Formats: sequence, C-alpha cells, structure tokens
Amino acid sequence: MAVQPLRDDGGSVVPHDHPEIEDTDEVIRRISEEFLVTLDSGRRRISSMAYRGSSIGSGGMSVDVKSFIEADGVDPIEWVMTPRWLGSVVFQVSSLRQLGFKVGYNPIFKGNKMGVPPNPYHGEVWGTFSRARQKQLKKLASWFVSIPDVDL
Amino acid sequence: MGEEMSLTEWQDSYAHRESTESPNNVFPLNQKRHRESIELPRVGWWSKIINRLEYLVTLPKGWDGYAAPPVRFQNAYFAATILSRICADDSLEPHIVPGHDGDLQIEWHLESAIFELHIIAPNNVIAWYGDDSTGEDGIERRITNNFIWAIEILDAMKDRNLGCATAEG
Repeated sequence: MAVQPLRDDGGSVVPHDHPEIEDTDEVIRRISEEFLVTLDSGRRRISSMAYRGSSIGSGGMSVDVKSFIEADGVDPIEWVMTPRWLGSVVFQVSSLRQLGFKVGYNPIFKGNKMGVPPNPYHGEVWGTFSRARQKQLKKLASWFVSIPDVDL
Repeated sequence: MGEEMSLTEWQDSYAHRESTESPNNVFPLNQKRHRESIELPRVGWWSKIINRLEYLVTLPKGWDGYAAPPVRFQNAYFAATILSRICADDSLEPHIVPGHDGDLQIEWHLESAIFELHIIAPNNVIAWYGDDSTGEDGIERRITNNFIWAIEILDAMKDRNLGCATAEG
C-alpha cells in the first residue's frame, strides 16, 4: 500500500505531490454521462465541468491512480468501469505537474464519512481550476475508455 | 406560510426585462417569504429543462464515480428562475450539467461558440463566453444579479445560429 497522505485536523488530505506517484505515471478520470452535452449535429462534447476541482474535502479533481491499481494486480479498465461508468480519460502526471497542479493520493476507505464506495486508488489533482486551466486540462486529456461519438 | 404573489405582481415590484425605467435589468431574489410561480417561457424545451433540473436534484451520491452530491435544490431553483428571465421565446436550448459540489452549469453550445453560466450558489454565478474572436481564454465575468450581459450573449448566439442556418439553407 502506498504511503498514507498527511491529513489536517478535519481529516482532509493536505494537497501534496505524492512521492510514489511519479511523473511517468498516469491518472484516470471517470467521465459520467451527466457531463456530456449533445450538439445540434448529434455529436456530443464533454462539458468543462468534468475538468473542475471540488470544494468538498481537499478541493481537488478526483482521479484514479493507474500505477496503484496495477500494483494490486487489478485491471485499470475494469476498475474504472465498475460500477459501470460510461468512459474515462487519462492524464500524464508530468503534464499536470508542469501546469502547476499537484498530483497526490487520497484513498477512500470503507465506512467513509462521505457515504460513497471505498476507493483505495483514489487520487486528486490540486490547483487552480480557472476556465483557462480547464481548457488546458481538456487538451491534455486522452481517452482511456472512449465514448463513441464524443469529442474530448 | 407566507403570502402568495403572482408573477405579475413580482415583476411590477422589480425591474422588468423590457422596462425603460430600470435599464439595468437587475433580478434580485425576493427576500420575503412568498410563494412565487415562475411564468413559463414559451419555448419548446422548457419542460425538458425542468425535468432535467428535477432529475439532477435526485442524483445519487457519487454519481460522478467519486463523491459528488446531487445538485442542491436552491441552485436548481435559481437556474430555473434565471432561465425564465433571460431566455426569449426563440432562445437556443440550454444544457444543464451538474457539478461536484451541488452546483450546476447552464451551457449553450454552437459549433464555434460556447456560453456557460456556472451557478455556484444563488446570486453567485460565473459566466464565460468563448468563440473564434475571443481567443482561447474567452471572456469571464462574475454575476450576482445583473444578467444583462447574458441576455446580450444569448441574443448574439441566436443570431449567429440563424446566420449559419441561412448560409447552409
């Protein structure tokens, strides 16, 4: 298991660059169907809302750390599609860090206060999610599990 | 339980969209405990949008694959109120996208232009517009209760869309 991250008095993970998430690693972000908008042409786009951080907890953008999934002998594709999520995109950690984001580890354990399923491979991308940065994230993303007829 | 006020009475007491007396078209939320009925715009997509908002407030926790809560009711209600005020009968159909914190975003998409109203909370909105002329960063404004710019953008997008349709036709 990876080194546990530092937490504040409230239990939230302190934003950090995790030493075991190397620049050569990748992080996966699940894309819910709720983030898709359909154009008049019939094609669909991913909304900018998919590339935004949260104000809940540590305030980052949730991801799954691919190397941690693989280290446990789990198939990353199977992991991010269970329960069934429509698709997912992947980012190179080095690209995120070059943009000034921190990429760290924030595991969600069974019986968590948020009442969501446990995710031992949960990571976060912390930083400023301005509109310009969201556009940059959109450009950095590539399909991990693609959704047909959806533009990144 | 509060006094019921019709939409007409509400509109009389505050700046109306076409009013020349109050050109700022400010839409303050009524602070009194009124039950307001929102007059439905005469647009074909209105019931679809209301259904979408009703659906988003009932999303299950973790709907995004992580820990996102459903859209907060006050944000959905505010979104409906805004749309009822800024959309004309022939406005482009918006899309409603949930956020990670109970927030939501109203979006309008053309092939070459996007307009977004990110509702963080009632009267706390970040508007963003981008097209070929704005550059990649687009134009961003924080809006509390003055939606004149949003109305102007929507009118311009509608004209742009009609222009494309005419060119293709």
